[in-house]
Amino acid sequence: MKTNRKSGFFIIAVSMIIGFALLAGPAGAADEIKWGVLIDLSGPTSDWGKNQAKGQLDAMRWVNENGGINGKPLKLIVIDDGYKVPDGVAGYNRLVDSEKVIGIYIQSTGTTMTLAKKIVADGVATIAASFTAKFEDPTKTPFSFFVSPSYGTMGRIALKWIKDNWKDKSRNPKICYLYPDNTYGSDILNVCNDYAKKIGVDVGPDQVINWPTKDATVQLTNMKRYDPDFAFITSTAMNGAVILKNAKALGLQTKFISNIRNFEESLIDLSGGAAEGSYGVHPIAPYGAPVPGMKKLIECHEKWHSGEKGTNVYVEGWVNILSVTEALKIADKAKDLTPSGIRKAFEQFRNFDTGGLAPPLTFTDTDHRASMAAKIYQVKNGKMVDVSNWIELPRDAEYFGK
Amino acid sequence: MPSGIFHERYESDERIFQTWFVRIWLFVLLIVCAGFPVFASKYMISIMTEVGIAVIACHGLNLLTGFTGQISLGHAAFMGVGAYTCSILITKSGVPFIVALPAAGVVTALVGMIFGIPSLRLRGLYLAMATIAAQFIIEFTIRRWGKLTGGVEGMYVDPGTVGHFHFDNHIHLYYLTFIIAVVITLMTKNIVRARSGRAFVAIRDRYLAAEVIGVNLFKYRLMSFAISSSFAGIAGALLSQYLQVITHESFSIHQSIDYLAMCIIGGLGHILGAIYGVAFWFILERILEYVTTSLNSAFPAHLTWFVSIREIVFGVVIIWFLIFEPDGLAARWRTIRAYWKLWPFSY
Repeated sequence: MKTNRKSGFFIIAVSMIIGFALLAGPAGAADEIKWGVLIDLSGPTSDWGKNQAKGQLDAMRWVNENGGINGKPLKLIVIDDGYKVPDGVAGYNRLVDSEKVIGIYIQSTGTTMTLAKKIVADGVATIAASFTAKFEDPTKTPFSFFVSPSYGTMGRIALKWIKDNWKDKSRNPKICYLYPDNTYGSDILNVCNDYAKKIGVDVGPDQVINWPTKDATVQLTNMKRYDPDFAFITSTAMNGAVILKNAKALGLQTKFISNIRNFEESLIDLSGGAAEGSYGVHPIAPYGAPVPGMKKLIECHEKWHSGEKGTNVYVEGWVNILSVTEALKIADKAKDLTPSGIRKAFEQFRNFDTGGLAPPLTFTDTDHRASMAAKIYQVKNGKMVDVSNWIELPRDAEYFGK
Repeated sequence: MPSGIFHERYESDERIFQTWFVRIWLFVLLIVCAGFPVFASKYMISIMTEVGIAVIACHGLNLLTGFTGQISLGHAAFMGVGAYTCSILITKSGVPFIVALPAAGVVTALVGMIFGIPSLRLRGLYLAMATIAAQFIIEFTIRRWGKLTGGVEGMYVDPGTVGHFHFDNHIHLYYLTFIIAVVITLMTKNIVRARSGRAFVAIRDRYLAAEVIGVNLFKYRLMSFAISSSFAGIAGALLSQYLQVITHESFSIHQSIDYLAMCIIGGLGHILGAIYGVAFWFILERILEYVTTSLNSAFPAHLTWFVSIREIVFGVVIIWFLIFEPDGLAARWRTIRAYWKLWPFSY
């Protein structure tokens, strides 16, 4: 009987949770527009995912308080995939087949790649956090969009900045790439190696630093033999901070440039001062930057999350939802709230301005490159300060979709 | 009328389904599963396909860990071997699916046997470490053998076809998985009833005694690894058809641990354990996902409060099972059945 009572408690507890969720659950309006968010809130990139989700949900709230999608409320359905591909696929199936969302935001590169074919077959509009150029070619991925230059483009922007600011005429600047051995890490290598050769930057031996990064001393010591002037980190803040700390301990003179996923406020906190003086290439304005679109963000953040720290990931969340909102508004006005209608709406973007939060966004039916511009920032006194103007690359076909 | 089951011949004692009652219910279950796609949504069918694949994989792991007592933490990697073998054969060599699927099983069995060799000398924790090594070696090979596997970017899988069945159609794939899952369940049951199964159990319970009574330890341990891996390989091949794109990230050590957890929850060393474990796991997962998603939608400002519910509940459930139900759901089901058999005249 003892066990029976225990299972009784268990059953009561489970049913209470379910009941509570049912009560709290989907009591939304009939005309609400559902958008799915597949994001990592519990896995290795969860600190990033939580800020991104926070930004998206705040933007949703702000949009709904300011008229919604032509009067219809926008509803984000957030599913945590823990950065695991099988969970991501299950979450996608749930959002698309069961919740019937008309579009979806996917964070993990692995999940996005796994689902790429399915997304085309199902015809679901997607906004990706994975800025790989492979999702920019509408002949291959007609429903994929993202709001930033691709990783490859940002890598080229960093190279261009290095070359343009290089004073020593006797030799070329030297660079090394540090990255984890996964889909995300190796994405920029071909494009950047090729571009570096073209503009005259010497590339040293690659250093593979896997996740989760506990120690990068071996790779950094290896790199020191080549003694590059710059090192480009493809990682995430949690892991990248270890690299910067190790580099400081080794006393390296190399200047570090972080990519967009590594260069965020938490890098500064986690590295305990080691990030000071390091660079980052980023298209999104840091939280609190003096741009017109930032005012509403700061107001909302202070109202709903007072005491918490605003980050550029939070700003990116806003940019994502503001662009989705714009596309949904266009599609709704055309009375075509379907994935193909949303695709058409996105493809009408011509220099869509988010108030300076991101460079103006343009999509066409043959080219899903949102923009080609980013800035170089530097960490000064624990703050991200821009040290360059917008660096814009031409929209040429050479590296398109690579 | 007899007041119980009385066997008069050995054949009737050895029968898998002993009473008419069981046979009828089994038949009903099979009919429901076969008719499932008629009334279920696309989402439910995709989940049932995942369940079928997990059942096949768990039978393999159960045979190795539950019956032979060899802990394996590399099961997902073996699934990866099967997935890549099948996909490479179909996509790059144009081999028909009907050949590629068993080939995946065979190749994975061979790989499993290689990593099973240390099992002659290693037991318990040490073998667990050796199988973790298998996990990492296989994952590394997949990542680095770019020409064959597509490296870290993974590879696209051409959908397999058998006659009029095209497995990019989710209903066709569901039936394929369902049939294979039933066949593998029967196979496992029969392996366990036969000479080799008894040898497995003898090795698990007291390997020294087993050796003394004439069980060839090396042969049967290796055989257990081979059968277990070949099931994993077939499950992996089906998973590759289900996902249509495979990357090494789909076969990580997290998956291996999840499969082990499913087997523990269901009951190590019970044929039905794999099925109960997988069913329980998937049902719990869906419920938790539903609960957290609803809570997230209701209280978007407190998103971070609810995300950990899932992980915590899974952890608690596994500890709960280890303490209160060490034999898993299969044993609990047996107890419940025994109770009702004599009800209301139990002593």
